[in-house]
Amino acid sequence: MSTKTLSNGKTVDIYPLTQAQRFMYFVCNNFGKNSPVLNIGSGYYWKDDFRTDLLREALYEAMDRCDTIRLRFTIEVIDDHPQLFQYLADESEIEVEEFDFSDIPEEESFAIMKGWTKEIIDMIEKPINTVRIIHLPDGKNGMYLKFHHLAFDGYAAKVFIADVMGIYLSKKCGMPYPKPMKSYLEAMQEEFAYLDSEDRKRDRAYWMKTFSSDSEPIFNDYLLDNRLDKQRIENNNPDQRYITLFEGEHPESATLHYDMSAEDTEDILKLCADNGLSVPCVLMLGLRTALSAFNHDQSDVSIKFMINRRGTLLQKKSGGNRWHFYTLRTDISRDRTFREALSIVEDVQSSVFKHCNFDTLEMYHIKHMAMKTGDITHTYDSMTFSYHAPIPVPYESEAIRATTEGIWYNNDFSAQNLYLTVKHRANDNGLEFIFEYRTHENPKADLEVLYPKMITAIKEGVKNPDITIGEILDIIKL
Amino acid sequence: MNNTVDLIIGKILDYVEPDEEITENSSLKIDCGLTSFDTVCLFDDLCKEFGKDIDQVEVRNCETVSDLVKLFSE
Repeated sequence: MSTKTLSNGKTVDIYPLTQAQRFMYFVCNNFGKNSPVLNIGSGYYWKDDFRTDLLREALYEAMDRCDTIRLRFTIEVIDDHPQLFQYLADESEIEVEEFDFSDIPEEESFAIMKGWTKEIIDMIEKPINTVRIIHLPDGKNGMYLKFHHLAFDGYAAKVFIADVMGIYLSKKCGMPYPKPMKSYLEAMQEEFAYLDSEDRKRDRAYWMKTFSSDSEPIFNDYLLDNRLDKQRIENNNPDQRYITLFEGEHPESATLHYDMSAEDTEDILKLCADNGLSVPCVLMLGLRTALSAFNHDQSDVSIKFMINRRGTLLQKKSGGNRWHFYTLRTDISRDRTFREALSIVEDVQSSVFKHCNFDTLEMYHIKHMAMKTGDITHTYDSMTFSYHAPIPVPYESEAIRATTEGIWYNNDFSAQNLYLTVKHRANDNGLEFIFEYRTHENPKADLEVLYPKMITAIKEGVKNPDITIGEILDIIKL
Repeated sequence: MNNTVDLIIGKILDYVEPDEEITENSSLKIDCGLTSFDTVCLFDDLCKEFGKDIDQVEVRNCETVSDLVKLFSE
């Protein structure tokens, strides 16, 4: 920590970026420069006897309780290199504006808010977050939030929404006032303390051992026109296991959205509850089985796995961006049952969880060195997966909850070629599957084949956990 | 034993804010609301706290607070 006098004359304590922020900033600068990849736009709307005055009060109180609403960035030149530092301003200086879109079709207001989301944030020594009250047609009202990804991740944004709703409902109907939020500075200091800790040495040793003792992974494509097969022919190398892929160009993206019914979702949740299993493991098993079907029933599948690292209450309630990304590699033979395969995925997930404070960039460096490719364009993980566990958002009644909508305004730019986010709908807890893909690859038709195979694999396994992976692969074969 | 119970419940409360009081009979997932990630981190914390090196897979056999107490009292 050091101090700096800002351009407005104020002197503040400044801190370097955390590992998670450095990774996000690195990815943005290398794979999505000059595009709004770091903008997160979301909306939360519901129908009630809406009180604009109370929501405004609740938003201001929630902003006072959330440190990273006040997070800002500044540039310091260190050894002739400009570097980004962060600090907390005394006040958020954010005015909650109100927009009435109740007289225009929702498609139009959606387009307007998507446009807001795509406006690049001027992030140097200025407020970087936006909070607005929105009125929509048919008595729907709520809030639009635009957060900077170095200050919030999806988890932090949802915790903020839950806090706003808790405060709003305490004012409107006397529900209990939400418990306090936690200190961002304390959470950040915990991140910095890790860098010199025995835990970091242990985690580094784990990743070194994992990559040096593992065999070389293999790329599993989500494109039916398989790039590994093509590059093996082009390079006259039938044993090639990675593909050469530079993600630095063409960040323009689109999304493909699927909904799973609340009933099917409940079946998955019940299987997990009855067997002590985690929901993302079921989803990842479905995804890896579909990828296997796309790649000659390959048993060895690696995906990139996002971990939000929200364990303790300090980590859960302090805002910020804590996302780290790791390879999750599983080798599951055809004779394994769905139940056994789940245990394999769960064990790998637990191992990765235990060592997930380690820097993502350094982990990938170790991996590339161990694989002797030494080149970050040599890729084994074709796509990224993330699961957003439900965070309870208070609601006034079941009837009002049923009208609630949580909306993600995609910024139409992505730093990764394919990113599958799975989250729960606000109104009925059913699962939403959002494939964010870069449009230059044009994988939409392939994903329209991949998704049903993933869901069939999950449903067959949930229906009969003793079915083998081979039997599932026979059902979903191309 | 009581110290172990109190210590484990105290550690669980670093992770969650349940409305109901946590007891030995509380289920880690349903009553305490611990996620898979919480459970892995909690288990790591407890190993350090009790100076034990217990295989992470053991956590899969722990459904309740008392299962954790038994594991760390052995």
